[in-house]
Amino acid sequence: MTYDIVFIVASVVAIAAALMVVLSGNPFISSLSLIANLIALATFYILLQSDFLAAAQVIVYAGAVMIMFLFVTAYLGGRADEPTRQRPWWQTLAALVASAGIAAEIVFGVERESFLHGPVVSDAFGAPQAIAASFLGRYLLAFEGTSVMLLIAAVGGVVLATRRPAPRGADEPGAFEVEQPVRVQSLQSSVMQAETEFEIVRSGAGSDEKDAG
Amino acid sequence: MHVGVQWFVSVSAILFGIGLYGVFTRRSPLILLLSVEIMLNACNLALISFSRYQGQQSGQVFALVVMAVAASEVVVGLGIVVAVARRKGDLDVDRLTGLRN
Amino acid sequence: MEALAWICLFTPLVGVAALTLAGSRISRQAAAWAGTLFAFVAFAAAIGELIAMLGENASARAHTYTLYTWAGSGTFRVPFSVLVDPLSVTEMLIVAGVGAVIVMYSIGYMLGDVKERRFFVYLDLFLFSMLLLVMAGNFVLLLAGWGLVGLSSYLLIGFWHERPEPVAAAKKAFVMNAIGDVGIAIAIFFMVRDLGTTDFSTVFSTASQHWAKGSADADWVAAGLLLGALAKSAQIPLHTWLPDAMEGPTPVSALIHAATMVTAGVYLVARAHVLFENAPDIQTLVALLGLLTLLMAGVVALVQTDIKRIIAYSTMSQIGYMFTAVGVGAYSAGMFLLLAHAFFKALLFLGAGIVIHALDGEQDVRRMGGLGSALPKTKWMMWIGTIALIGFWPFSKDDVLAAALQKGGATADLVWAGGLVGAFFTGIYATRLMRLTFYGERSQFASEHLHTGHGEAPWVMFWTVALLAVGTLLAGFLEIGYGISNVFFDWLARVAPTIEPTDARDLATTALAWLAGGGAALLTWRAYGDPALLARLKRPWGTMAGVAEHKFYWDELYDRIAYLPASAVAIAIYRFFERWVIWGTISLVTYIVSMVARGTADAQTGIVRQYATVLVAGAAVLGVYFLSKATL
Repeated sequence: MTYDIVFIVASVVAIAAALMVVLSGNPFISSLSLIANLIALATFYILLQSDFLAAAQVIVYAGAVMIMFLFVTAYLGGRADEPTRQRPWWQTLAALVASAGIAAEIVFGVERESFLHGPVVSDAFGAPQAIAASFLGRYLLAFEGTSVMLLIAAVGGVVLATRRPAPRGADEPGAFEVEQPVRVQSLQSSVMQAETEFEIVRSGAGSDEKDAG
Repeated sequence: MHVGVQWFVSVSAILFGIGLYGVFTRRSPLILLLSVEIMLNACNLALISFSRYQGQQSGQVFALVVMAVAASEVVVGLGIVVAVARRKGDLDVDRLTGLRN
Repeated sequence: MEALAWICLFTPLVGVAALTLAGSRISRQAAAWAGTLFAFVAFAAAIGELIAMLGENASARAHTYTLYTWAGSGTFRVPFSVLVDPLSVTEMLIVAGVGAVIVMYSIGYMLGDVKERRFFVYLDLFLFSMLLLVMAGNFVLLLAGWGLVGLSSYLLIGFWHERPEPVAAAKKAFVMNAIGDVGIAIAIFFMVRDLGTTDFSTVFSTASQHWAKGSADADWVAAGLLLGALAKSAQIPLHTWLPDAMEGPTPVSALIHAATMVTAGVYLVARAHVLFENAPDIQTLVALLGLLTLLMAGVVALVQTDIKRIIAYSTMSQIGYMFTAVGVGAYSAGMFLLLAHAFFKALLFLGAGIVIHALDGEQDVRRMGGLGSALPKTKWMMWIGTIALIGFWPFSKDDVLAAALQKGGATADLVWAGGLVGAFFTGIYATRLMRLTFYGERSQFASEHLHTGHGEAPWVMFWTVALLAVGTLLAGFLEIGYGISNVFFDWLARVAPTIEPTDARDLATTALAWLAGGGAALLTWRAYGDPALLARLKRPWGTMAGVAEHKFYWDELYDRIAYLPASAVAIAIYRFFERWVIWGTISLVTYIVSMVARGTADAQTGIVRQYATVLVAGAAVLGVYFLSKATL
């Protein structure tokens, strides 16, 4: 019973928070709403007996990632606001229909199946030891790949942050412009041209003239 | 378990749809990234639900990796947003078409 | 014995490979001397063969050496075999000997040419090809040598390929020779079908059993071989390529188009005389075509103004003599003329080369004159050649004509009479050549451009010409007749017999030939010193001279019936098929690809949300698809 109540409350919070994220015009409200969403999801994980993941969610997501978001939002200040420009009404309707459609598709796909109750698991199911054993055993390659990817992301972040743009010359293309290539006459057409102009060279035109000696 | 796995997955679907709506609709790159985060979390929820239903850790491991990926992506994404903001000042995703043909 | 044959054959090929691989790592002079060395080694091997063969019994002088089976299909085999017998040894000596001497001459003639190394590679290639031709033991291998010789000729005629005339001349020579190759191929087809082999000894011994004498099959075989011989030896009707081949360097003209390659046709008829005797009509045709060429070429040579072309038409005429010889059955007489001709024609060409070299490349006799004082030794050596050409010494021409007289019959008598008329023409043009070049007043051009620094010519050029002059004189002693010396005819008696004339006929023919030739020479000498006499002699021959100047309009005829139609067809195919169908297809394909690419590239708008939309739409479609599959 408690289980179901917690579930319903967490669902409501999660969905409401998500709606706040996408509908709010203030980037700060959006970021904070996302934090609420992440906490609700952590609750879900605990309901599903994945304790370690719930903790990771709170620490990594709600902690580190959201802090980054809040930093950037603060740095951008007013520029983070949504630019004011009217959207055609049918765009919103189409987006609504599309997202609702996707969600409905997934729900429909799941509801058709008949799921039995899952197996009874012990507390060791979501414990760090179990996950660590998986990471260092069966999924070692994924583990290593993930660490490489994190390294790359860190390097990328540093590179993006510290590069100073060089002063642009007068006729250099801008940062987001591409140079058009120069048109070169293709080899084929020049060969065709050369081949159509030819002369018949005939021999047999020797120097046979009247003897004058 | 009182609540079947379908419920969890349905919630995940709804969250995914909301995130998708945000991607379609919003024009600020920052909000765009937030919407993507919502979608990723929805996926995580689905993964962990099925993992519990199967009784194996594979789904949890997958979800952990997705978390790491999301974190990295946010780092790079925010870096780009900051760089663009520095250079152009205008943050409208519809105007950032430098990668077009 | 066997080793010597292989050494003789393959040494020039080794030279080709060595010079090609060495490339520009060795100096041009070194390449020239190396090329000459390889040629002389081949000559030494040929001499060795001769000595070995002289020690053998006359009846056992035919040897066939096989290296391996070159090709085969079913029961038909083509071995890589060489036939070494007196006829082939004679040819080996001529080819390797005169060839080596001319290669040495080229060291001086081609000095300073940037492509000198390539010249010697080609010369060695030619020597290998010609030796393969004369040493081949079966018809297929002979055809291989035949074709290679044509290739070498093409490469050497067009050596100075920056100018269009040599290129056109080379193509003309090659195409006309290809027509001859078809003839030989047809003959080979008959042999394979009826005899099952192309091996010389087998073919010659079994030919008359399968093809009755005078039958259609026999005629086809002989006609096919004749076609090849006509093309290679530049006889009517496939003769028009030879004068144009003078575009090549003078050593090439001497070696290929005087001494060796053009005589390959004569060698073929002499070698395959059994097949020709089996088809008497064709053999008569050989003699008649030779006679026709002899006379026509003699007339055309009278009006030529280019020194090399005079000698070229003279070559054509002399080979006509050889053809008449083998056409009436006097095979060794023809071979003796071939031997003497190789010496004196090469001598004349190389001497002319010295003159051309001294005048900085001028070849027009009207611009020469009075060079005798500047080039005395050359003049005397060329007189030796001229005397041989007119027929005074060696007795080469008389042997041919006397044999014809001995044989009797309509064709042979016609040959005898025509040959004497030809001797008259020969006397005229040979003397005219010498008179205009070396005597009289020195023209202004000659005075300005003459340059003979140290001696008349570089020593390699001078002494090789001297060698040829000595050779010409000595060759006469090989065959004198009248019981004095019959060395040559005895040597070839088993392989290529001849018709021995009676002493009376021999003497009469020689006397008449000398009269005709000598009389013509004296008349010409007087005429060119006396303008009034010259004008009087020329007056009745106005139109004839015009026809002769146009070489009897053969080139114009071939243009009309062969060259222009072929060009028209080729241009039409190019305009309508190549341009539209082939180029059009390629262009269409590239156009389609680029259009598709451009259209696809338009999807890259750079708008993120558009990308997301497409992505999600695709995912949705896939989702529906998988869900529907799961339902079913």
